[in-house]
Amino acid sequence: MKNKLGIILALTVIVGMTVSAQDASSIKKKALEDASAKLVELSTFITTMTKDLAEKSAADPSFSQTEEFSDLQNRIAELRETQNTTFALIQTLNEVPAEENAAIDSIVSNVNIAHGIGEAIFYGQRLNEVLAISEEASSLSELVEASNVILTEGVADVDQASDGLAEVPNIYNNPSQTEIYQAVINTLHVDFRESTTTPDGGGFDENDATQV
Amino acid sequence: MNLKLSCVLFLIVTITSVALSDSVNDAINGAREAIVSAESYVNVISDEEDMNYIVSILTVASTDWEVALKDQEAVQLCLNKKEGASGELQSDYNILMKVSAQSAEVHANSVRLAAAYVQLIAQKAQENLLENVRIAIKENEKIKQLVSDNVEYTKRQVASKYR
Repeated sequence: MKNKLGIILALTVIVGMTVSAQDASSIKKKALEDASAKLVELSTFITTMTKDLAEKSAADPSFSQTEEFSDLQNRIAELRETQNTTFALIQTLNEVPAEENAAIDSIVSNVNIAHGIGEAIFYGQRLNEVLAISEEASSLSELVEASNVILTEGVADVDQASDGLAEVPNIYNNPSQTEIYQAVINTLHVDFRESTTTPDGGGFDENDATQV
Repeated sequence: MNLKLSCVLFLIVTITSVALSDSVNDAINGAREAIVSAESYVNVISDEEDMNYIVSILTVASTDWEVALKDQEAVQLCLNKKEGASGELQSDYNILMKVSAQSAEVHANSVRLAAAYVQLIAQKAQENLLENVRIAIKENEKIKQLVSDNVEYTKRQVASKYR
């Protein structure tokens, strides 16, 4: 995750330079900025919680044997999962063509849902509790998968999957990417793996933990 | 009606700003106390390997402390400046204040995390707990970079509006 936001924010500049429609560009740029701000906030929550865990453990040596310790530790892990989901959504958002407002809105909505889940975890709820009462998502991976469908097949396909009525214009058959873009995405991929991949798999349900 | 709404919004912004500033001050004060506490525990540690690691994290904590203090100043500066500002300028000060507060808190928390680790080592805490804190310290390095990048980006974006 080193320089993660720097790369993402640099990408917003690339977006600004490469798209021709100024309005579309600024909408996407704003969406990326807002999503990045949410990623930053989730990350600051993690530092607060890990600090609390360490300080409480230091203040009371028996704290690590308590339920509160396990709960805090589990919530930190769940918040990291939410952070990874948000980052994956930002990557997807970055790949959407700037003029596709509906797709951008849908992914932004998923970023907001992920952020809301992370916020609830920070304030004391467990992930399963949040998801159990959520009308918007039943799992974190669902948010990423839905956004990937939006990216590859279009918003209408998601609508059709949910209500069976919409037509399916495949508007992203062959999204062309610049060499600069691909290089940045490759760096992000390496960064992401270095930061989150555990020996038994990574944050995107990866089953291959080999460093690239 | 508009006047009432403006007053309510002003009140909300003011309360939020003060809360932000308070939470930064709390984080800084907590870090200050943690540094004092860590100093007393350092003398208890005799293992060379532990000491080498502790020196490295306290060296980083020293830099984090400076960053936290600078960001705390930035929060206060924004708080003062936005009082006389209006409209978009006030909104921009709020944005700058928020990202500075995030950076101050993250860096202050990093100091506290390092201090807690020193205490845990001195108390000969279980290895799995120490390992968890070491992982958190490592992860914090990335988060610090993230929030610092965000501060710099936000400053540039705001500054570019007034050139």
